Amino acid sequence: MLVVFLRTIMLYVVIIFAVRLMGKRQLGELAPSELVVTILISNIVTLPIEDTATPMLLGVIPILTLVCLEVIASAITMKSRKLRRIASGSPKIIISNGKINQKQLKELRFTVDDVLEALRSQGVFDIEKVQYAIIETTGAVSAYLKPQEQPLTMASLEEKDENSNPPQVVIDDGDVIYKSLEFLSLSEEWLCRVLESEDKRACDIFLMTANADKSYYIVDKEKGI
Amino acid sequence: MKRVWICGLIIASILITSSAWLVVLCNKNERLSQLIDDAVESVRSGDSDSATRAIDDLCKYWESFYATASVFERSTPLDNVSDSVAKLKSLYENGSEEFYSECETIRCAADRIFKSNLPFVPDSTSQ
Repeated sequence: MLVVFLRTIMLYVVIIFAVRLMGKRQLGELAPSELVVTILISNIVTLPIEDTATPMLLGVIPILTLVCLEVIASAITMKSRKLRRIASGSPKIIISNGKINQKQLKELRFTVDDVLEALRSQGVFDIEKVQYAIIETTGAVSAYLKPQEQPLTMASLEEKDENSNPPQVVIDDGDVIYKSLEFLSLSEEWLCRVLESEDKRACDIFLMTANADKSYYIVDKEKGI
Repeated sequence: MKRVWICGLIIASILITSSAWLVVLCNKNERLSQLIDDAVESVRSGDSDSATRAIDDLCKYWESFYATASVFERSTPLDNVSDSVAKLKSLYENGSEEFYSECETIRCAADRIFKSNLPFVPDSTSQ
C-alpha cells in the first residue's frame, strides 16, 4: 500500500511538471491535438499507479514523450499557417447576415439546438440579430452582432457605415491571407499600395487587420523572438 | 522557445537512455549466458566444488541483473526467472536432470526480455 502511495505522489509531481511544460495554452480551451494528449496522459498515468509490477519509468517515459511532442508540434505549427490548419482545422462561418449556413452545420455535425444554445450563452436570443457566427477550432461559437444590435459606445456613435463587417486578419505572421481580402472585397493591389506607403514588407508584419472601409491596423514583428 | 529546447533535451535523453539500456541489457545477457554455460559444464564435469561455486556466481549475478533490469522491465518476467534461479541449487544437490532444463529456461527468458526491448522483430534464423 505504501508503494502505491509513494508511486502516486511521484507521478503527481511528474504530471504537474508535464502540464507546466505544456504551458498556459494547455490550461485554456483545448485544440484537438492537446485534447488527445490530455486524454492519453490521464490513461497512461493510471497504469503504473495501479499496477506495481509496472516500473515507474514505463509510465513516465510515454507521458514526457507525448508532452514533448505536443510542445514541439505546436512550435512547428506556429511557424506555418498551413500546418496549423491541418493540425487544428480552421474557423467556419455558420451564420452570415442572420442566415444559418445549413450545409456548413451538417458538415460540422452541429444541430440548430447546439448553435442556439451557444448563442444564448452569449446573450443572443434572436438569430436575425447576428451578422456573423463562427465556430472556432476549439468548438466554441463566437457571435458578431449586426451594428444596430451592438451595445452603444462613443466610437460607434461616430460610425457611419451601418453594415460594417468585423475586421479581418489580412497578414498573419508574414503570410498574406487572400481569403480575407476577398471577404472584404479588397484587392491585392490595395494591400501592395498600403505596404508601400507604410514602407514595410509582408514578411516584416506580425499582424495586419483590415476593414471593408479600407481602414487597417498593423503590428510589426519584434526582432529577436 | 525555452520549452521547445527543454522538450528537445528530454526527447534526446530518452533516446540516449533507451539505446544505452539496450547495450547494457545485451551485455548482461551475454554474461548471464556465459555463467549458465560455466555452471552446466561444471555440473557435467562432476566437480562438486566448482559446480557449487558456478551456481553461486550465477545466483549472485542474477540478483544484480534483477536490480538493474527492474528499473525498466515489468517485474513478472523477471520474477519467473528468479524462481528458476532459486531452484538451481536444490536441483543440483538432488542430482536432478531438471537442472539443465531450468538453465535453458533462464537463458530463454533472459533472451526474451532483451528481445522485447528491440524496436523491431528479430530475425528468427539468427536464434
